[in-house]
Amino acid sequence: MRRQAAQRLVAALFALLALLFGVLIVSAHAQAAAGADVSESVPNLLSLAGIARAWREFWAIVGPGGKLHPAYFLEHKGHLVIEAALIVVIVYLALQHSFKVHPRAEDPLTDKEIDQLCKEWTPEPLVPTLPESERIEPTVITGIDGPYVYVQGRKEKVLQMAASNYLGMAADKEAKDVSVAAVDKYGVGSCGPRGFYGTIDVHLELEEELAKFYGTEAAIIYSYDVATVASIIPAVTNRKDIIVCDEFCSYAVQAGYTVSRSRLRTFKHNDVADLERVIQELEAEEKAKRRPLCRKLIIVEGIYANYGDLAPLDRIALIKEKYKYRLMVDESHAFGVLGATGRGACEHFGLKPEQVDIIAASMSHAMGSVGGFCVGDRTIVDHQRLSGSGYCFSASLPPYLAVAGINMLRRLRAGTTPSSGGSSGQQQGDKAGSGGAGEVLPKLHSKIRAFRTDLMRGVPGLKLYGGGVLSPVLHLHVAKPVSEAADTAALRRVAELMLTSGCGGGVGGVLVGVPQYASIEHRRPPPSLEIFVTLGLGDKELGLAAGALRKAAKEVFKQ
Amino acid sequence: MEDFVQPPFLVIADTLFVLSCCMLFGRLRDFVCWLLNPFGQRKKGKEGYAHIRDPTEDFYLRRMYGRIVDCWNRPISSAPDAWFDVMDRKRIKEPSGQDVAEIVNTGTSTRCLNLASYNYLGFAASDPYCTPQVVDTIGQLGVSGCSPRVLGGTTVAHTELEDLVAQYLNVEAAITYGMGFATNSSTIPALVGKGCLILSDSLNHSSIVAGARQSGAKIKVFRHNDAKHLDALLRQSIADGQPRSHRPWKKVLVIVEGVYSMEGEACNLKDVVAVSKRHRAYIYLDEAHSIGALGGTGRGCCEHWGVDPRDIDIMMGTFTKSFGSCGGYIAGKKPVIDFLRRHSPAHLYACAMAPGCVKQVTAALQVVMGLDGTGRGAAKVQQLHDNANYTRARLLEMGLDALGSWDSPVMPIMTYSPAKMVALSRELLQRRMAMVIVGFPATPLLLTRSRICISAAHSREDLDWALEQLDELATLCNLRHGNTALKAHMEASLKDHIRRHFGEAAAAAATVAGLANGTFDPYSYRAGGGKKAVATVGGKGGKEVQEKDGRKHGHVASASGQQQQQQAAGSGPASPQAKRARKESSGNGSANGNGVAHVEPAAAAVSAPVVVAAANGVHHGGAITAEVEVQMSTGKAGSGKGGKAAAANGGHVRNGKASGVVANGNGFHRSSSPVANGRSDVKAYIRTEALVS
Ligand SMILES: Cc1ncc(COP(=O)(O)O)c(C=O)c1O
Repeated sequence: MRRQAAQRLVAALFALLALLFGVLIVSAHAQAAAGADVSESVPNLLSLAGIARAWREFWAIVGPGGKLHPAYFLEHKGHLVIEAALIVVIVYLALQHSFKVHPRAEDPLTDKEIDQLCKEWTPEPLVPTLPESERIEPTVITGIDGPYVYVQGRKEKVLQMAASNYLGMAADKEAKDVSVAAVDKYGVGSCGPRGFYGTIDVHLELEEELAKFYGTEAAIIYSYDVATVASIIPAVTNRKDIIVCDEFCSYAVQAGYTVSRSRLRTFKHNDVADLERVIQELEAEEKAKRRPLCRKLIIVEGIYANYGDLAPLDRIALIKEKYKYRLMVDESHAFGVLGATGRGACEHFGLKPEQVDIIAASMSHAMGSVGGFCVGDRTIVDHQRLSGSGYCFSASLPPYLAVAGINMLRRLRAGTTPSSGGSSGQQQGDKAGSGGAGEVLPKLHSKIRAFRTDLMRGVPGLKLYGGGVLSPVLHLHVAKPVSEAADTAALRRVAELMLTSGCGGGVGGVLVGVPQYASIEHRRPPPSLEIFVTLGLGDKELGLAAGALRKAAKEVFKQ
Repeated sequence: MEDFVQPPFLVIADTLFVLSCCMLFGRLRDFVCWLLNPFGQRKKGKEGYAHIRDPTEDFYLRRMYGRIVDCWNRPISSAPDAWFDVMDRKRIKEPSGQDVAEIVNTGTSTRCLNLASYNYLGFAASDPYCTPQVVDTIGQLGVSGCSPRVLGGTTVAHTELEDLVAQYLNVEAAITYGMGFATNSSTIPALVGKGCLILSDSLNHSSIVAGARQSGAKIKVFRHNDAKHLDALLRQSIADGQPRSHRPWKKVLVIVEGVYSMEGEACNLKDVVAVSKRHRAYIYLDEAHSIGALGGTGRGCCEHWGVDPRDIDIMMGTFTKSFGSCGGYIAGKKPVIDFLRRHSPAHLYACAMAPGCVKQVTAALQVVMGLDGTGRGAAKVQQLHDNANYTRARLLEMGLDALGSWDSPVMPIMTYSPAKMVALSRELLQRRMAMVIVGFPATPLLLTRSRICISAAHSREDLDWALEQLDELATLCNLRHGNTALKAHMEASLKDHIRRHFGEAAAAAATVAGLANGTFDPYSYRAGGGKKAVATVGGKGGKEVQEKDGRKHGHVASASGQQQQQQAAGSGPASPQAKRARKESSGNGSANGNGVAHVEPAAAAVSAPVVVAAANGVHHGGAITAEVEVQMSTGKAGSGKGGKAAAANGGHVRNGKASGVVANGNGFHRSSSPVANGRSDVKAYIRTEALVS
């Protein structure tokens, strides 16, 4: 439409100029004719000489110095005419609202019609009615005691395997003490975003500790786990940029790329060849369309929260370097668990901190606090301080949660030198928690391995996803899936039985979770039973849990 | 409001001139830098990777924002109470370098009046009722649940809070989340999606924008607080249907905020509700800044306007502001909340709110609702409104362009020119006042402002002192714009406000000037002619101390290691200490106007207000640790409750077994009064670690 308008405009301009010129020529000729010798008759165009004369005469008028030469014309105030014409054109254009050529618009709706339409419109209800089967009352916890919890309606304590308190820090005595001290000093909330006096010294301290722990230039903390990744992604990419993401990435990542509105491609879960194929396609497209260099990001999770397996980071890092993409790893479940010092899956796969551009993680798993953080080089972190929406526009982390985080990091770090003996405060079980990362992490790893190996020997009707990978998140899927609803119901029944059928020894049962997924998820993972292996669980507890699981599964799946 | 805040022509010209100079010099400096060192210098990004920050943005950051970074992100080292410690910083790299100037902490801090934090009801610091409960909860339920609500993160604290929130708001049910931002950004997409329409106020918070974007619904923006425009948009949109397909919309959601955080303006809720109801659009009300702050009993925007909360389909709010904790809630009809429990991502995947934070909110809500057995909550709300209206009236009287609605604790002062904004911020900090400044891109370029957040913890002296300083600064920065239109509007809206809340007689007498000089007191028109319930919840001004001691750290500067006791019987001698003690104790209970604390049955266990100042060696730098044993003796019958342990700056106080008192050492003004549980002697061991420079 715009093109059409432009064409019309040019045409109009030409027509106008032609008209002008015509008028000028005629007037000039009239002038010339008036001043010319009368005796000189009109040349005879039939003879050569006549033609030559005519040409000469014509040239005398039109050529340089002639009265019809543009220069003559301009010298004799002719420019005024042109200017005037141009002004007319400009005024004409200005009076037109735009170049828009109005299609023959239908008559706009009258007020009455609008009223009628508004009256007729009936909205859907705000929310659909929830089927009774989907209404689930979660287990309510009334107290925590090491790896055990007390739940409402039951007297005996139950094993807590539905919380990712991997190092037992959340219920740890020292962690509680430092938190209480911080509450005394700082109160609970920070009452402001980081920019507006919501930065408390302990936030800076935690950021420093995190950077030191990871050996990166800088770190930044967010006040909530799902907001972390969901803020980082839109901060570092926008409409023009490219995101390549594993198809199994969790909601936070999905939220992040949706808000960023970047060009998104997904690759098959943990399939590095597919990742390379996707990238090659993208690169070809970029080249074909000659797009300028844009920000390109690969997003994976160190340990997939919804599946419990690890991303092959060593191979992904090679691809990333080959095609010069930035790599972002969500280390939520791997931080504090994997690697020799607990830095997560990147360390587990032997990646150096500078090989990964953005490491983000939740503080609500191994750290035993709440919130999230991101570590990376200074540019990336500083950029988030101005562009991370969850950072800029939300109150900062309650100081006592930051203090709990600092405490955890210090103790994990101190653990690398075996001389220290920071206690993880396990009142229960086998005192597994004593010692730093040096002994703590191998201990946790051996527990994970032992429990996974145990379950791999078979659970009736269920299948452990990922098999023997070193991951504390266990997802057991139904071996012969029927439908999402039926499977979920069955798994929920298993969880219920595990909680209620006592395991003896004063233990009332095992609390495990059946994750639910929102309808807005782009891709819902299959129903699963989710179990977390934590440091506080001794051999005895792990045995109890496996036993309870088998018993419950057997009953439900009747095998 | 926007109609009244037109920057004067000269200011516009000046601002544009200054900004173009800044740009010119910035470019020039970049050029010179390049000349001096054409290679290197500018830290090149990794080869082959696009810059994380685009070049124009980068230029503005380095050359413009870089000059004024010190005005934001100022760290503090204490609770964000009425007075707090702002850490001193210094610039170590001039912005002539290529990066944003770096600022480091010097290790010292300055006690400043806090006009920045969203501590509306004064629950930010430790509180005699809330803090012991928080401490207990941390002991009982751990630091964190480490699990989403649906798996293993739901605790008794959570269910208790959700019930209480529903009760407080007078709705059927409520659900809580660990972060206000995530509450918005995950609830909106759960409620609306493709084929739905969102009508959003033009000044809505970024969390709402994030949620709306995630939802995939069509977003239209209506003019700020303009119900007429909303109506027009609604009519046209419903008539037109979805773009291109022209199918009818599935649902229409109107999203507004209770109080706009950068305007201080309360939502025009009545009209918005009327318009939305007429068109059967659903209403989503974000009460982040209004819950606890607006309305006679702190129940938010609905109470403020007399709107039935059941007319609001989704009530959202946060706990980060009035309740001094973290997190947010959604409240509404049971089916809606049930649906969110099943389908809201933040409920399903995010870690549950930390139990300690949950308890803080519960306890604060109990105080506000009067469930703690005292009138402290009601007094706090009243004090907040009183403080806010007084401050706003004084600011207007000074000729400043102070925006916002009456009763709203947020009041921006228009500076218009960014340069003045920065000057104001720095000068304020010099004078030990912390105030937020906001400029482009958070506001339009020519509408930069400075923002005051009033708290119930502020005492009248605090505010008077602050206003005096602001008055001087208004002259210094030339901030009096003589905006008569605004003045007239505020005058009219005051009358309207007073009419709605105090009746016709009060409205007739109400003037801004009267409010400012204290001749008009709306509460005297209340039935029973009740005086103002509260003398102060907060404490004494730092200035007072400063004058007395000539020292920076006002609150440390109280008597050193001294113990002073005062019988607080009504007839007690009127020494300054006694006056203060009485005043403070009256802040805790309900008190009458003449400074005599009166006893409530619930507070039968009374102890005379004891003011103990524990502060040693104020002047010597370094950390000082003082162990002071405090004796709190009971007073005679009829005296006010509450003893008081005031420890030095930044110290924290822990008592023995007695009563779970956690008196935060914020100096005299904190009325952290232990309830002595009927014991005659309470031994509190105060450990004070004062970091004094
Ligand atoms: C209107 C509004 N909604 C939501 C939020 C976010 O709340 P929170 O700080 O708890 O994340 C804010 C905070 O500034 C706000 O002003």
